[in-house]
Amino acid sequence: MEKQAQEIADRVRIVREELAKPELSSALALTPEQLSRLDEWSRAKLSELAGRFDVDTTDSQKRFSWGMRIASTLGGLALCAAVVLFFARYWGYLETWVQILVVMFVPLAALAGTEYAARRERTLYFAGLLALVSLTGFVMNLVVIGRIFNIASTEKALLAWSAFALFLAYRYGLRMLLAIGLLLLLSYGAALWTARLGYSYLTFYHRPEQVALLALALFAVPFFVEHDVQSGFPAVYRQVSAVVFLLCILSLAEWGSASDLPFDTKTIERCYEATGLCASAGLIWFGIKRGWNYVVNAGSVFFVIFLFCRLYHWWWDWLPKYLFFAVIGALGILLVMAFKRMRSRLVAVRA
Amino acid sequence: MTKHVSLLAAVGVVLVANGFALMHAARNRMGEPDAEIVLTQRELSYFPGSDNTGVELHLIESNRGRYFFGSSASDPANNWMDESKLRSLGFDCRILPANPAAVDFYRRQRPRSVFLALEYDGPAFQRYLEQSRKSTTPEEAARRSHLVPIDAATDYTALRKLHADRRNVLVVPAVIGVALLYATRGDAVQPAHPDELTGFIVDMPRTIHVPLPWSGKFRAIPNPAKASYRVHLRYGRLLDPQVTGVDIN
Repeated sequence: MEKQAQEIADRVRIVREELAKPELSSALALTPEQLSRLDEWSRAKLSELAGRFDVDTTDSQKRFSWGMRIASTLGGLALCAAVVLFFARYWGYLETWVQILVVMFVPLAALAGTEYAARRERTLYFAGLLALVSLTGFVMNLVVIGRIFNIASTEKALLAWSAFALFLAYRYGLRMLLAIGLLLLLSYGAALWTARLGYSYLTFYHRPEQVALLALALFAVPFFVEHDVQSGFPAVYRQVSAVVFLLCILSLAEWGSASDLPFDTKTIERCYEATGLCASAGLIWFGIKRGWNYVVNAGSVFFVIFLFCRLYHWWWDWLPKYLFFAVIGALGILLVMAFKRMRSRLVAVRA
Repeated sequence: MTKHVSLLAAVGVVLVANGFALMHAARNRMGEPDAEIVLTQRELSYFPGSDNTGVELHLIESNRGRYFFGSSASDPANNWMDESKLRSLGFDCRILPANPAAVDFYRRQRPRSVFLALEYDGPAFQRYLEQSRKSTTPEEAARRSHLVPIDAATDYTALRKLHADRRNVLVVPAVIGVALLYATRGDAVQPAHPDELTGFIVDMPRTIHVPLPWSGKFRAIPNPAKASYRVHLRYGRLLDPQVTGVDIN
């Protein structure tokens, strides 16, 4: 709803700005009365939207919103570091039962603070900041209890942290918490898979194929799960899973020995290079078809990385360095031209 | 109520996760311990952190594996991590070490979760001491940990049955990797032994938390590098250690 409200506010604001330009006003030739009625209506609409939702009604407000988002994220991260370092500084003086109570209290107190902040402000800047502190507190909670009782670590903690982050994300509509929760969930899935095969769960990232398969499954989740309330969440699912999937393929293309496939390392690396190029090109195509800019962007970035890695392997030893970089520069120009054509196609599709 | 489901679920996750962790700790401490042992500053090192008041000791063993000490074939103290043992731990050893494909084949094998037996101040340590006498000074030898890995298995019960001395042998969960010991690669000299397989300890639970009142004694040590202490450890049913006493000299 928030997103739709922002889109309406943007359209109304653009109409106001365009009508103020002499070229359009002379072409339309609106009477002063019509202009005044339009102005009245647009002001009323914008103030109604601003009253009901947290929308930016001017350009400067939009810039401020971005600044506040960045500030709240950095503030949240700094607060997390402060909580952890403060505890580390004094926990040695506390009895075991006090340590346990303190580390259990931190995430719950921060959660209560998140709920309070979310009820007080629609912008969710403070709620997002406190939710991050709450998640960090919960991570510290389980780590400290594990340390106190010398419990050998298992993958189960990843599931608990992931569930906590996802519940917070869905409760307050926080995209960053959703992204963290999904990354933790992917890690848990891969760690569980690794542990069930008899390997150390901490080595789950040694086999990127497992993570890549789980990322593909995650990409498909928004096709089956409706997100009527949190309409922006499917984009986060797709962004996280697309980036993780392509990172896995990239690592396999560079270090084929991490593969489970029963072929020699060089063959595996070539196969994954081709897979990476096809997958990123496929993502660009799929993103254009569906009008998902973020998927197109992720696909474009990885397509360029895969292409440049391949060129490096082909030509770095063979060409003089100046020529290598000249060829890369020429290819870069060609890619920019190709992407420009694709962008205009994307605009046409959206229109 | 349904409006607050996700909030209640988040609170529930915190409570349930803590409940499981505390139940695990209680189960570990209930009943007969798996082992009770006294270790010294040689096996448990202490380095105080400037910004961390918690006291944690770091478990050190001697003779971590031949992989870490080059390809000394004449190292009988650690001969147990050979090909047949690695097979029993689940490693695929079907390619001979001398085969050119062996390097890639063994590099691609992941470390495996197993149980590791460590003997304290027993025959394995004496053998190790004899073996390393030529290469180390008496001072270095005196500082060496007397805890030596002696066996590993995927089944805890079978391993404990083989090493039943609960006062001198610890059984801990560990991660073991497989590696090739080269004898001939890039070396024109006639090798003393053929290429062979060996195992090495990738990881095991090394950090041991010291609670109050013993942590205060550690914090009061003026020079931890020269301190002399004995730590009483109780390894519970679930193989998690617990400090039950500390003597600082």
